[in-house]
Amino acid sequence: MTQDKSSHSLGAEFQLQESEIMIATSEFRQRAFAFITEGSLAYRDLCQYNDSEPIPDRESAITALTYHEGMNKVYGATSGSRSHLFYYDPSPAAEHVVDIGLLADSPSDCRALHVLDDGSLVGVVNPAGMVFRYRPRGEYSLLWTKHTNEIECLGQACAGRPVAATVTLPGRNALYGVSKGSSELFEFDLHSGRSRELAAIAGADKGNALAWDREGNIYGSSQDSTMFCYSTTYDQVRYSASPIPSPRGMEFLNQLDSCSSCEDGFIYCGSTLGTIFALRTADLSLRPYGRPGGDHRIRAITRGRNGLIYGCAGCPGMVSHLFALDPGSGQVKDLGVPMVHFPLNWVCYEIGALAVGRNGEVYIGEADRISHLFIYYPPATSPCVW
Amino acid sequence: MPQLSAQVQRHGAITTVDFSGTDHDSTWAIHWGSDGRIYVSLCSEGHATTAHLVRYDPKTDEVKDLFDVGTLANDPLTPGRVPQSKIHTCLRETSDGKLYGVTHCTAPPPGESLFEVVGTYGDPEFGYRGSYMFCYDLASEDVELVGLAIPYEGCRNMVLNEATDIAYLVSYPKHHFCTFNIKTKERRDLGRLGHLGSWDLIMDRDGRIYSSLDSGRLVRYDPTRDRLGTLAVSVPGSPRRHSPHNFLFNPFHGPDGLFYGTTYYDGYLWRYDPYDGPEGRMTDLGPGSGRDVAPDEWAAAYVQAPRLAANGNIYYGCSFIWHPCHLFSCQAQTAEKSDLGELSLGSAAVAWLSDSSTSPDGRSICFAAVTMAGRPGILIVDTEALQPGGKA
Repeated sequence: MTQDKSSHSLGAEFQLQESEIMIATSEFRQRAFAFITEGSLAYRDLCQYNDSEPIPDRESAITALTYHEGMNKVYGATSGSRSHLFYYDPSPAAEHVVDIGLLADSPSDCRALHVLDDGSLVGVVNPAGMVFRYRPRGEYSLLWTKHTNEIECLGQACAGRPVAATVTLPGRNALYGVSKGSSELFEFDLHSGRSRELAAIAGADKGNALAWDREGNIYGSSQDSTMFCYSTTYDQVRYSASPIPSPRGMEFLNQLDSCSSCEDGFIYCGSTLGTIFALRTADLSLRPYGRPGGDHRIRAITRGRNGLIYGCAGCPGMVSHLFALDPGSGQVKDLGVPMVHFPLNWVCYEIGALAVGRNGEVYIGEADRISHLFIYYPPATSPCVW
Repeated sequence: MPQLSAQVQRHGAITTVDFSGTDHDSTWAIHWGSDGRIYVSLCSEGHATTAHLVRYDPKTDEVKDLFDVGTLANDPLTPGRVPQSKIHTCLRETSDGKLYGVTHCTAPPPGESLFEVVGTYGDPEFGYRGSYMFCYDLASEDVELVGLAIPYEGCRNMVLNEATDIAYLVSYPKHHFCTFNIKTKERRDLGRLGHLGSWDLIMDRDGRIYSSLDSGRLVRYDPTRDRLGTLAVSVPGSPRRHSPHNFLFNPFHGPDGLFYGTTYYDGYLWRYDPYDGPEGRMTDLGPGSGRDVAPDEWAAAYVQAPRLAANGNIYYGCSFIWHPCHLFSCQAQTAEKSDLGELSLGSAAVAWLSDSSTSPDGRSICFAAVTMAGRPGILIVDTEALQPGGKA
């Protein structure tokens, strides 16, 4: 049987002059291309295009992102010489970022932002551990106008000490967290603005993240890299039998760096030494998935809507890579470094936060002196059905 | 490296020094020293080598290979690792006769054809180790490794403030604005400037440092406030341009104390007075080629390595895409341009001029060059010997 070669060699002998001259460029793409090629990327300046200047350089590093299902918006916070709260509205009438306002008017960082049951957002700004709340109801933005609400300051979570990590629980009007430099797990009442200690968990303050489940449990890392589970219902602490997966001999240095939401009994986690693992909440067992990059830190990890877990690997000051984990197969793929060419050329060397939107798009918060909101659209995995 | 030799040829007002026979394919940094000799970096972009600093004496035609930066930095060619292949427009002489420079990268590792620095960034075995600063004493000929100025990255440009011992640098590939104290070796990263359009720096007499964003808007670092701010003023560009991607390129100090330079992508010449008003005053000297990009051209002429000679003319290279580089002049006061003719190094057409430096008397200008044949060499233009009408 003869094969019709023309069907799969169309254009093989046609080359533009520029392509011949720039042959090294195609070799790059095929053999040594550090940038994301699966799926597509867009980026947004941190501004309402017609009506505002972007959040200024040095105060635009995005260090917290969360998707708000009810508003269908992504909310974020920045860190730097000042800290801002903003939202991105993906609706066709907007497609822009709105700077809601300042969280702090001095050098500060905000790495925690949570959506409560009532639709309001709460977070913490360091260095003073200031708790804030924002109620988005009634806000809007169109081409030339916007309305946002006041950001409420609720008080200091730990008497002025910085907060290492926070979490909220369904049905609770409280913020839970650990303060830096202490082993105190605290509960901050959002109504009264008062804190109380729930438990002393040695080493909990060295982690950068806390996780939660719908049973009212709070998870984090503790001394000797074990994971703890604190039950708010029974006021009890349990520990995992095994430590966070680590390079041998470095276990004592490894802490929880980031974590996903809990679904199907699993929380997907990244560690400060750059390993990723799943925590099975039923028995606190850990399932390791290796180290997606050659560097430390998994600064953000989030659950995609396509069954994959997305995360970013790499230390501050180095080069962040976006990766995907398939929990079913256990395969981990380094997707590469985000880069866009429109409306201008830009490489996102530092990723500070991730969130997933309604349609499965992954929001990537750039954390640099000059920062943008990137949007990663994973490739379609199945044909459209009409 | 094979024994350094050079073929010196004189063609009227232009002297060419051809360093063919070395392992290198280009020259990138050039400095006409206070001792009357020319210092130039032999570099490679296409294949693995380590850069050398060499010296040419225009009085005697003597050349000397001064040192290999890879050996000096204890970073010799190593399979798989990005080599110390370049010194990129980063030679600065201090008042005590010391020549400072920093290393850069653009060549692939030994045995490889691809140069890649983002994927290998920070890799302890294969990644570029970083930009090392050296100090060469023009009188004693001693060379000293000052230290690692930028870890993991190359350096596109540097200025040095002698009063504070601070070197200001732009890193590559991340284009961060960095400082390095040449005495204490303290490093600081002051943050990202842009994607591509922030690779050159210039300092005013108060020690303030200027660069630009990708958009061409100037940025200024004030060391007294430790503040990097964006100015409203921009470099000039083509009126056809609707997107911001034309930026400050090859700035230099004129003898009148003003800044001069060109722009990358639109090839416009400019003059900037940093003390005229709070943000300075930018004067558009027009497209360096003498005309704006034509409707049937997909890129403007590439205008490179300008320097102002004592006769009041700015001399520079000007290349139309895929065509050899021409030497141009621009009368600094009237902005009138002249095409002085095509440049070549022996039989090799010059692709572009990568750096330039003026002789101590301001009469001659030396240019580092990249040729279409990958032949390293330099050109020296005696501006007084140019024929009436300016033809080279």
